[in-house]
Amino acid sequence: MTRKLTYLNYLKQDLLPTQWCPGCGNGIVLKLACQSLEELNFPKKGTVVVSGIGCAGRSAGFFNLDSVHTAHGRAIPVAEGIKLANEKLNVIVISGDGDLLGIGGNHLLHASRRNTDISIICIANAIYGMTGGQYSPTTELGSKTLTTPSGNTDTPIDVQALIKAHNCFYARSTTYHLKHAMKCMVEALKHRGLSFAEIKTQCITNDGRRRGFKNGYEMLMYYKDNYKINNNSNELKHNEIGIVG
Amino acid sequence: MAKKKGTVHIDHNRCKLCGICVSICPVQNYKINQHKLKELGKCIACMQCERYCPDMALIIDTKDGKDTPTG
Repeated sequence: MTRKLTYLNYLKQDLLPTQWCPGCGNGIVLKLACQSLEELNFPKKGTVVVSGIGCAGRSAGFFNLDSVHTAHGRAIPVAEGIKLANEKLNVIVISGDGDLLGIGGNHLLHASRRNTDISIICIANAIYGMTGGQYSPTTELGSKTLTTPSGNTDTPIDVQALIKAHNCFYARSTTYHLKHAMKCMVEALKHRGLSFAEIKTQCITNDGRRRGFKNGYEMLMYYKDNYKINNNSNELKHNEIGIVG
Repeated sequence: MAKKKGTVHIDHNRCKLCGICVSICPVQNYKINQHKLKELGKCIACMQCERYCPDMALIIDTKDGKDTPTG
């Protein structure tokens, strides 16, 4: 008798397998989001998932909930609009870093200023994966991508400072630290006001391949070796993951 | 200490052969052979593969029917 994975009830299981590449971490985040929703007993009617454009933007379509797939970078304004129209709804934004911080960066700034009660889960793979691997706002210094063949020279965006400047919730985790990532998501969903959970995700096809990783597992091990959990600090360093409440 | 035993259920329609389970398994229970994921029956039900599978393709049944949490 096969054990049933109850959290999969939050997904449209007939749409599986996902269309993401083999080894992509988006599936892990999707699974963790479902587990967090199950842990908090979010009702299927009354929860809305909004996403933008990109690899991570495809995730809203998989949820067996009300979901909106919006224009590029405009996931947060749509989510704010939904929340304003009906305060009882739980509004969750799941989108990528290029979508939320690059094209929609201005919206994030003003949403955090207004402190609207939405939860943002940012799948930060540090690359524009769908268009072939251009560098994104969170690409680390010296990282080799399609548009920065001799290493990235621009400093990545400091999301933490941006969110903390307006006293909103910020958490960072990686796909290797599953329990920690789930805790970040649960806390972000529980938080009243704007909450931002940044999950570092591996993109093997367009990012890891150029940086010398062979498969998704090696990128997971890179996260294991390079990120340390620090839950008791008010400010995370670039190689730390944790919750800044 | 008696070893836990697990039964592995692989959903071949969902599996994309990314190889995360092959590398992450502590007892080398998986093998990719002729474009298909094969299981060798050595599962100790540590649940790592089920938790890290990005495509929800693996389900592990434990002997006592409990979801044994690890780590």
